[in-house]
Parts: sequence; structure tokens; C-alpha cells
Amino acid sequence: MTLLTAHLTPTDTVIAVGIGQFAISRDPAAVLSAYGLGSCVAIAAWDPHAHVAGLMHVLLPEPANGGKTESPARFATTGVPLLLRELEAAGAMRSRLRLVAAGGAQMLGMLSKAGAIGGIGARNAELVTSTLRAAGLTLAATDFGGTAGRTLTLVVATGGMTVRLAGGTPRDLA
Amino acid sequence: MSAPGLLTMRRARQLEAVHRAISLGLHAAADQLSFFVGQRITIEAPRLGMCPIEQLVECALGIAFEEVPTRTADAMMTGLYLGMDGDVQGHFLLLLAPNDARALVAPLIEEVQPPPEQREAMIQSALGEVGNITASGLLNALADATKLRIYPSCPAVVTDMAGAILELPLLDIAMVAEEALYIETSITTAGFSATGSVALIPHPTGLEMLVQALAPTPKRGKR
Repeated sequence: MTLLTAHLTPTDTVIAVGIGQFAISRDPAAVLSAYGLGSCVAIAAWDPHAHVAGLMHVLLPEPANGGKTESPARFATTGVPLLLRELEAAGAMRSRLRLVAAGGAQMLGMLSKAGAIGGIGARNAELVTSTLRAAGLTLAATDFGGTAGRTLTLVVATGGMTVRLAGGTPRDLA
Repeated sequence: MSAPGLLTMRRARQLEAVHRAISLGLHAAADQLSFFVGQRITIEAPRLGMCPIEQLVECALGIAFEEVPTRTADAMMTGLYLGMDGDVQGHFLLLLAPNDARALVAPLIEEVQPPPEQREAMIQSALGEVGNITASGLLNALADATKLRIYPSCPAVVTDMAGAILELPLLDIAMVAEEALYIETSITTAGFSATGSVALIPHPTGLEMLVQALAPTPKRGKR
């Protein structure tokens, strides 16, 4: 399936999905965007039949204290199930979902190599992928790793998903 | 539990004391920075407050206070980053528009006239020094005012999307806190008006050390 590049028109409503947040939309004029992902990972989902779109922006792999958290969208292991539940509540079906994910870079090179912060990007990518797999789902496309920031955009009307690297131009994720 | 953004009177007074100390520290930092780059630089901190982790990027960029946001969190910025250690652990970040960052150190580079192949390395090095001077000026002033030990790490310079740069402190803070301190700042120079901001993000325990040193919570007696 060919995906359309996210061309914004003045009537489009851009919903910025910040760190630890998510958005679900059925509004054909809406565009969901996770701006400036570093080691964060954004997961975009679209049901082409129900025209339901969802985007989540996770910061960390998993909560510290045994998996319990007040902010589930902040973590990959608790965020992914929440996103799937909310998509289903809005009329999407898991089996129809087209899923992509992007982010998981290693930021500030030499600094993040040391200590607990090093490798968080890779771990985020790993846990998003494995949590989806545990739910019986696979990612149709990913753009993980590297050392630069990214923006992931999802056009609700078309399901077009694009990623833009820092200093680059948007490209389709398919 | 109080609603996010609502502070008790005492907490508001304590944050005011932190704001005063940080404003003085930023003035000291601006003086030292002016001397380094050879032009008058002022750094003002009109606003300081607590911001939910989820909105810290927008708060640090000032987008959170704009009715119509003028930019998004993927705007390219140059970040001058230093870690803080000692009694107050946390993160210091000076964010500047990439062109403004380069313009700030341009007179220094012109003075040295480096060979073309060394020019970029020299710009990065000078920017690291800008971060170092600003952080040291601020943190030394804070340490003097509080009698706490605050040590900055070596500087790192990165040009990337603003949100991606701000994630580094967030990764650390988000494990232990629901909100973080933000400081709205403006940086101006005689030559041009730079778009920039300072993020000083102490660990929750470090913030409490600052608060208690500057405006201690009175001990309650038995009734």
C-alpha cells in the first residue's frame, strides 16, 4: 500500500502529542504529530476501515516500581496497552491496525553513553516492539536509532505516516 | 491533593525566593558571558514555576504561554548542556537558536582567524565555553546564596530538535517526579536579540535543598 506524504493544508488541525501523552482522533481534518523525538518513541496507529487514528509519545521503557504508574503513557510497557484499548474504544479493530513507530535515538552522544541514561532509546524501541508483539501485533515500519531527533506525523484522513529527521525533509514510513 | 499549577502560599513564597536567587545568578552569569564574548549580554528571568513533566518541553520553549504557538518542539536549537552534581543534582541547559549561538561567538572566531578546517571545531569549543561560563556564573551565585555545594560537569554542545535535546533531563526527572522547575528567560545582546532560554532542572531532592536553604519551612511546635 502506498502512503501519502503528509501535506498540510491551512484547514488541518495539528494536534501536538507531547511527552507522555497520546491522542485518538476520527476527525478527517486532524493531523497528529509527535515533535522532536530523541530517545523517546512515538507509536502511530491507523485503522483504514474505521478511520480511527492514534498517536502516543513514550519517554521511558518501563515504570520503576513493579510496573505501577499514575502516568501510563509515559512508559512503553504501560503505554502500548493503553493506546490499543483507547483505539478499540473509538471503534478500531486490532487486526486491522497499521502500526509504525519512530524515535529511540541516542542523544547527546558522549554524555548519554555513560550511566543509566545510555541505551534508553534502544530499550524504548525494544519494549515498544515486544509489548506490541505480546499483543499479537507487528510494526509495519520503524525508524529507530541514530543520534538525531525526529518528528512523526499521522494524517487522520489518509493514514499517511511520515517521519522527518532533524534538518531533513519528511519521508513516508511504509 | 491540590490541582496542578496551584501552590500553597508558603510554596509560592519559597519559589519566589528561588526565583530571586536564580535571577541574581543569571545577572552574574550574563556579566561573565559579556566579558567572554566582548559585547553586552543581558539575561532576564521574568517567570519561574513548576510545570508538569508532560509539558516541560513546551514550558522551557515558552510555547506553553503563547496563545498561538510560534514554533513547535521540533524547532532546531543549539543546546549547551551541563550536568549538576553535589548537594543539588540536576541539569542545566542553555538553548539558543542555532544562528544566534553562532553569532554570539562569531567575534571570538574572527579574532583568532582559524584555518578553515579548524573553524567548526573552534566554534563548537567556544559554544561549550559559553555554556560553561553561563552555568558556572549561575551555579556559583546559587551556591554562594545557599551555602550548598553545586558542581557543574563539562559542557556538551548539541544542535538538534528542541524536544529531543530537552529529553535528556526529562529522562532522569520523570522516574522520580511529576513536575519540574522551569525558568522562562530572555537573552539580549547589544548587537542583536537572541532567541534563547535557560532550563535549570534540579532533581526533586536538589530543589528541596535550594528551597530550604533560601526560605526554610518553619518547624511546627506541638499544640
